[in-house]
Amino acid sequence: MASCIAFHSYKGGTGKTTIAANLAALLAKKGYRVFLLDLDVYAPSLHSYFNINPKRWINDFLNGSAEAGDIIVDVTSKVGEVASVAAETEKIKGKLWLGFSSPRKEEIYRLEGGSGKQETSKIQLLRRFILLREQLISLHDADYIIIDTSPGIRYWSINALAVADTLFLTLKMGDLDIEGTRKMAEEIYGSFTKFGARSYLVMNRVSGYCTPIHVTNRQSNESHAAPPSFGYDSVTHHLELDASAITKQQKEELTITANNLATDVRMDVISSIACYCDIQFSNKEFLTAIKYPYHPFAQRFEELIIAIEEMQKTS
Amino acid sequence: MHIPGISDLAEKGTLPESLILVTGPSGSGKTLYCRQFFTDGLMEGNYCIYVSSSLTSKQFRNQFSTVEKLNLEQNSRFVNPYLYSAQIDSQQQNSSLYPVSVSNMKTTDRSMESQAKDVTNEKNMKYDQLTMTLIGIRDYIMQVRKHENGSVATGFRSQGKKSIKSIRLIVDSLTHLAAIFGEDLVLKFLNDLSFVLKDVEAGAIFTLTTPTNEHFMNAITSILDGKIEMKFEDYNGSLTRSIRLLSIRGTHHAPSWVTFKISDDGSLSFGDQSSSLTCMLCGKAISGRPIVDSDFTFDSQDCFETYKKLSGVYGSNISEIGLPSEVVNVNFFFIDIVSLSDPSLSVKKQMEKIAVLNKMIGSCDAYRRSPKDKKIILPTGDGMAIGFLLNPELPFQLCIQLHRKLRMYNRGKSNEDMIGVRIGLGSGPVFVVSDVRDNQNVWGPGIILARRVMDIGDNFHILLADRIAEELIALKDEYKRAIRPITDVRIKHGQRIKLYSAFSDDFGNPESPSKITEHFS
Repeated sequence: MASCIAFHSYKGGTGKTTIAANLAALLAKKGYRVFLLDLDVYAPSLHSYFNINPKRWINDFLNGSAEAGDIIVDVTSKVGEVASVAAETEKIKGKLWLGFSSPRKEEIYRLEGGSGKQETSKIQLLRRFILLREQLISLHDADYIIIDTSPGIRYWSINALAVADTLFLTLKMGDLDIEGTRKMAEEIYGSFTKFGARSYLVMNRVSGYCTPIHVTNRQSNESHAAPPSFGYDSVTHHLELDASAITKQQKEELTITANNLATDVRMDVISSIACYCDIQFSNKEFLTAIKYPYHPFAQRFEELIIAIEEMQKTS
Repeated sequence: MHIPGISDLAEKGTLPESLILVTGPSGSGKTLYCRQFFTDGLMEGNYCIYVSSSLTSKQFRNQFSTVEKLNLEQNSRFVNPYLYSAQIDSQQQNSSLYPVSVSNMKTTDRSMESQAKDVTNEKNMKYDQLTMTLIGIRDYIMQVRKHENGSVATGFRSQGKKSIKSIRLIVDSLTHLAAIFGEDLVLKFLNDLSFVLKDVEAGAIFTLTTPTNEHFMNAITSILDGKIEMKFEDYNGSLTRSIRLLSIRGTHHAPSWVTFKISDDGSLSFGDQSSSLTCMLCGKAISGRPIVDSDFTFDSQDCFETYKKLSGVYGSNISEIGLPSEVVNVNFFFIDIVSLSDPSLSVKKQMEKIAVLNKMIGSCDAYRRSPKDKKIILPTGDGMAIGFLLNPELPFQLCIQLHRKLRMYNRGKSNEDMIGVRIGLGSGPVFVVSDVRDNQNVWGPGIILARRVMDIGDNFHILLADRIAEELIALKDEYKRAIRPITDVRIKHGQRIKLYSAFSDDFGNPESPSKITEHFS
């Protein structure tokens, strides 16, 4: 049974696109048919992340001038090229398609029902969006549809969350608006979970981590990554960073923060992704989870996928 | 101009009179679309011309055997350009209307000259066949216009406007024409024909099978006003046909594919027209067993849950995105055919009358203008009930438009062939319920009231319950003039209502219903 996962946040800049892209690529690598849709319609960035200039956009499907097959771009080979950089080169067993939102301002206005009768336009757009999800599942055999939504409480982020069965609320540590997030979780997520959706917190850029020396050394010498000898727990979903990279005090503080947050917003933390300096200070992060499969960043996604697969089994 | 499926294909539900190219692969439904355009045209009282180079007159008549013979004979014309050859053979070759001179041909070889002449003669003949087709169409149009102008001059007027019938033309297909006459001749013919049609503001459709020569397609597109595309897809043995209005000249239009089905009798049903219920969320026709929640119906559990999620977030503001948030008032139009159960009427005749009435209702502008998710359609055997969500004007306008069409249809017919109807309008909340066979039904004060009111009426009565009548009277002066109180009546279970009747020169029945004096006064 197909699953639809939406990445959402209260504020912008929490790393939704990065996390969604890495998760989608890793799921495809594992053999799933994955569709990653950029529904951050007000500030789309997926085309920029993948450096693709698409001919057709999700907007074209929503306004009825394109079919689902016209607006999705198969990037499996691109993911394969990235994977080939890694030491343990593996074929991409599944498929990854992308759907992009147009950054043109006229298209963004149209998605707000800006032309014609507003009510009619909005319901037509919503219905087309529901149809897109349905067609990706029925006509394109999607295993996973991953939606990168707009931050906050906006028309298209609500639509995306409403059609999803799993909601990941992404938080960037150090730039938290606990009160806003709590309110949003209560007012918005409550309605979604009441009618079958599952929602979890994804904590991003948690503190206390530096560039793993093994990764950088191997990269410079052999142009691929090797497994760093970190003591993270690959089973638990909670942060277990190596003592050399995180102080005991930091670790305790982080655990307390995560627990408090989970209590405040009444959602469990499904993943905690540290602030990896090599990623943070690289020119551009691009599918790190594929390129460096033994990087702790990639391991977080491995864990996340295990959790998602478990959820699928129990749903 | 109404083309089949227009309420689903165009946002406004109507088009200006246009010349439209219909393209699609073989088997996509182009010919059946033409047939529906033709029969709808006749049903609406228009003149129709059917041009086909692949049909004989007999085949044409057989194709339209369901259309009333008199209507077909009097109001339509079949033209096969290829069959003009017999007429041309009997004439001199130099009568070519698109002459191609052979005198300039520089050849001394007699046999070659002879061959060239043969080729030229054949080409001349093709010119003549298409020219005679064009002249035939033009003469027919002039003839019907003259007839129409005569009718108007003798006093047939409707609401101060000239009641001129529209003209429809179908060419099925350009592909076959091009195979016989060549693309260049067909393009010239099409161009000349377009001027004849535009001159009389006729609507026309032309079919072209794809894939085809791109140059030919582009040239045709440049001559015509719009383009419709058809396609079919095979999903594991299940054939799905779709259609979209790709463009229409001078009109902003966002094209989107609409699925359609072809019934056993060859008629087409678009979007949700095959179903009386649509999903509240996704807007699709509910094909399986619907999920019912309160007064809303959903296509699937996914749709139900998504709607619930959205309504939980938006609350009462959900109507801002076009989804209803509460029980809405439904304005019901209840109609049945008078004397349909008369034992002297054959079952075939009864069925014909029901089919004619259904098509006529479907062709009314008020019916087409109402979005599919804003109306509920319930067949009742000898008629139907149509619930219009929110808008009280549309059911009333439907009464008027239908009565005008029926009067035109009944003109010159025997009593047995005439269709008489009675209509009741009522409004109120309704509930969606499952009947004993788990079919969906709508029930509630609104529909019950409309039924009771209709039952009081005689032939051609348009009767209204007080609430909807008073709403309409308050709305427009023209409604105030047409809708008049009759009396207070007691309907079933002792409920008393004030009964109104709507009539004018060309709709309604000014007489008091016979049951008023017999039972209700």
